[in-house]
Amino acid sequence: MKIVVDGKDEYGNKSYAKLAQDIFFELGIAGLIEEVHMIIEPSAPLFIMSIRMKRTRSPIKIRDVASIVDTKHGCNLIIRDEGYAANLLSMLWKRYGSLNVEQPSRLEIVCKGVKADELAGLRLRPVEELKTMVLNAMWQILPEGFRVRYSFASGHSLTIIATEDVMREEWIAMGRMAHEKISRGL
Amino acid sequence: MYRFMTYEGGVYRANELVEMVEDLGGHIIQTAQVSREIILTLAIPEEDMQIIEKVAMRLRGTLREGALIGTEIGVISPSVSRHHLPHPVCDIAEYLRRMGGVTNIIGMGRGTGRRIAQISMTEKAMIDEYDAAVFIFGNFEDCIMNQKARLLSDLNIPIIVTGGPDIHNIPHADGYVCGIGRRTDRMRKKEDIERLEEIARLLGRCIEDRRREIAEDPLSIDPIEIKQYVDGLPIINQATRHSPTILHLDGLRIKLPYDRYADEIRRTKILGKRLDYFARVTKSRNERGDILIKILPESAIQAESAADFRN
Repeated sequence: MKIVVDGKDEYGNKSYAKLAQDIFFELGIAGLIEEVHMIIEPSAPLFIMSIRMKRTRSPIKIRDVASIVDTKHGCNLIIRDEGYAANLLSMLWKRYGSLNVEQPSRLEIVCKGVKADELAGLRLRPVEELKTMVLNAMWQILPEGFRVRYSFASGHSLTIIATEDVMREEWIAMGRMAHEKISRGL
Repeated sequence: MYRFMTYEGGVYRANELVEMVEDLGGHIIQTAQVSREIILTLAIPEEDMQIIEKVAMRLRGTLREGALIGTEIGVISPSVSRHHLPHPVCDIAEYLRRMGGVTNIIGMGRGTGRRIAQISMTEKAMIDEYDAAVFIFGNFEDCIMNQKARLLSDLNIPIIVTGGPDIHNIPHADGYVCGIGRRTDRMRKKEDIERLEEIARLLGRCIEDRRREIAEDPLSIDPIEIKQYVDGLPIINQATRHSPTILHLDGLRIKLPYDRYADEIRRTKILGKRLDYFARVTKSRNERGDILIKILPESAIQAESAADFRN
């Protein structure tokens, strides 16, 4: 993960680079981020944060990564592609609640009160889940008082422009440039 | 004047120290016993310090100065969101408690941002009730010097500011500790502990200055004496919160609702006189509506008595 911070306040820049790194590690997504670029001008006031995530897998149906069998109380899943295990569990917990979804062993998931037909057609979207996690991290990093925001999202890149004043066109232009830059690579 | 100390030692024969302190006219503010160890928070007459030091040495205990003992300190965060809590606010509050102060964390309603950062009159009044306050600011020099510092104006107590950059002469602040700012981890490293010690040291200096100011126009009664009378009242058992009476440099906070118990507190007899002869009893601006006791200086009571006599 590469973090670059531009701005006039050297101490502030270094501290926000460390802050961002700590938050990514805390949330367990440091390994999923390729590059981070921040532009911080407190006197403006302006804060731009651009992130490019690493490539993730394409959306895929549950039946393509796991075998689903109906049982008396619901259904059991036997995971065939372990690379999707974490995404699958996370999606099922969100949809049905952690009380109804258990993982008794590494490759087995038990869903209570859910039919196999219902699960078979559901899709896993790893990139969407990653974007949600990255957005959460960005909201934690951005200064709390900078609530006026404008964002760009394309492919595997996200950019948020934040200020506490009325958003200006030149800041949106700066954000757009930062977004294009990070999409190409710093 | 009293010196505030913390004694740590064995339970065995600790009563000898307690009796000596009381015989010399001092006070035991707090007692904490853990297994066979005892921690006593003491107020000792300055002139009798050597006697207490000898007793402590004989009992093989440790006596430490606690400049923050007998004070209530506000630790002020710009908000209560995860941007500012728990780090570093809780570490600072905990360290000041270890140094003997009673701390309260206040999260401002609209303290975030730069230009938009605000402090309300109620928040200022609440903060002014404490003996001192520590404000936690962020990582940018321009923000701290040109925007956040104005939140401190109109406050009438010592203020220590913490932040990231190494800057000087923050308007309206009595001291500044750099190298803290916004962070996501506990303050455990050696340099972090040094910064916490610096905050405690600066606060201790401000508190000592304030004690000397008070000594120049002495209070009509010591806060510790009022505390001992109030702690003996049956109504104190109605308090549901921890430590129902908190010492201030010039008074007391009683954690009972003002509307229900203020009159009874005013009528409490101390040395043959009502409590409100020695002090003003007012309502705290905090959400609980506690009772605040502000002790009058001796000179004010003499002036009032002279005016009453003439009339």
